[in-house]
Amino acid sequence: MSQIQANSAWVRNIAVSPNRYHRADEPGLVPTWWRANRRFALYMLRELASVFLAVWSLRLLRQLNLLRQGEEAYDTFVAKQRRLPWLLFHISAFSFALLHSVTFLIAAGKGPTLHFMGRKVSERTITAGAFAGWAIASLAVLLALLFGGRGEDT
Amino acid sequence: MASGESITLTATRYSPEADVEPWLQSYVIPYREDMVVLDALNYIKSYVDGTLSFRWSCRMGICGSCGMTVNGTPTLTCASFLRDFFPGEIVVEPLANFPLVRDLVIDMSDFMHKLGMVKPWIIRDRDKPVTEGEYRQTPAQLEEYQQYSQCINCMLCYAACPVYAMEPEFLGPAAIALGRRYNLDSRDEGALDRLKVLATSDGIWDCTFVGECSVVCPKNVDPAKAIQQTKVDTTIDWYKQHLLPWMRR
Repeated sequence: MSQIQANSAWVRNIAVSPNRYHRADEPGLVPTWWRANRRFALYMLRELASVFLAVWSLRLLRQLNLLRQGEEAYDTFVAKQRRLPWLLFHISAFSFALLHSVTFLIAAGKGPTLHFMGRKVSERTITAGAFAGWAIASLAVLLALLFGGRGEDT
Repeated sequence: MASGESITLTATRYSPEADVEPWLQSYVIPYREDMVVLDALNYIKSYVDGTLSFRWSCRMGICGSCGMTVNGTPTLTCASFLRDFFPGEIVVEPLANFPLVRDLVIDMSDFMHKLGMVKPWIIRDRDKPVTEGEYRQTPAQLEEYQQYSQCINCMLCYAACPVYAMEPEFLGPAAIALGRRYNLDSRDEGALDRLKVLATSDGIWDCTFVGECSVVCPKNVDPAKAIQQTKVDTTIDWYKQHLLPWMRR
């Protein structure tokens, strides 16, 4: 990549030579760039999802670690999760996870190049298939949660 | 057609000999609903202010020369009608993310250099003699790359890309799309050569999939798709190479 790097240095040289050329700033974006249109804002929200999911994952690791410390420690932790700030966090994390999943699956059609019966599978079909797979997997998880532990409870 | 009506067009002005910073100048010109922004700029150039500089050529969305930022959106001015903005004001600025040469004219050298890096031409290990005839393709083979061959090098995708704005080292949407166009061409044998440029941290892996490049593309090339497909292909190839070497093509 030495050619690209050499060239970018050349661009920067232009930027500091306003007598010949003008570049508004050094390479970069104004902090409000994402407010230019709805798609940029959605992109930033999609990226922001990673922060919530990272915190949620750390919280899960803490929860798993507490399993080693006995029932009381675990129950105390779970009880805290029912407080309003944590509930708001969980709702936010779930919303962001949903947003990330939807935007990821919408984009899924752009990734693979698939062929079926000698013909290229369209982007729309791949996306529809991804959503169908997601719906089936979600339904399976929901059924497992609702009915999976019934035998043990009774 | 409306007659006697006028519209205000504001354009970026910058003269490297006289100005430290670009500035905006407004022109009030006659409005016709069949005029495009490029027509308005040419009207200004011909009848109002001959010093206004901008780049254009074909006036029909083929040459890719007249790309500018119109009311904040990178667009071909020959395909952008005044009626879509009337009676509001139109603000025409140069394409973002490129050095400004004069008024609405940007320096495209960086793009031209990167375009050359992906070798956007058919590479053959061995050219067959003319006597053996032409390189033939089936319609299916043509369909593989045809979408990406529609690129007119207008650079709207670079102006729309926040990654390119942040990291000028980024190879950029159009160059990657054109690299993929030739990699998918059944007549081409230069894919490995191009992947040395495409499959790098300054190439496809710099893209965070904002997707705006495909939104502004006037020819529906969908560079974001080309980048994601190349990511998938190179990832599969990496796994084949390291985990399943016997499956590698």
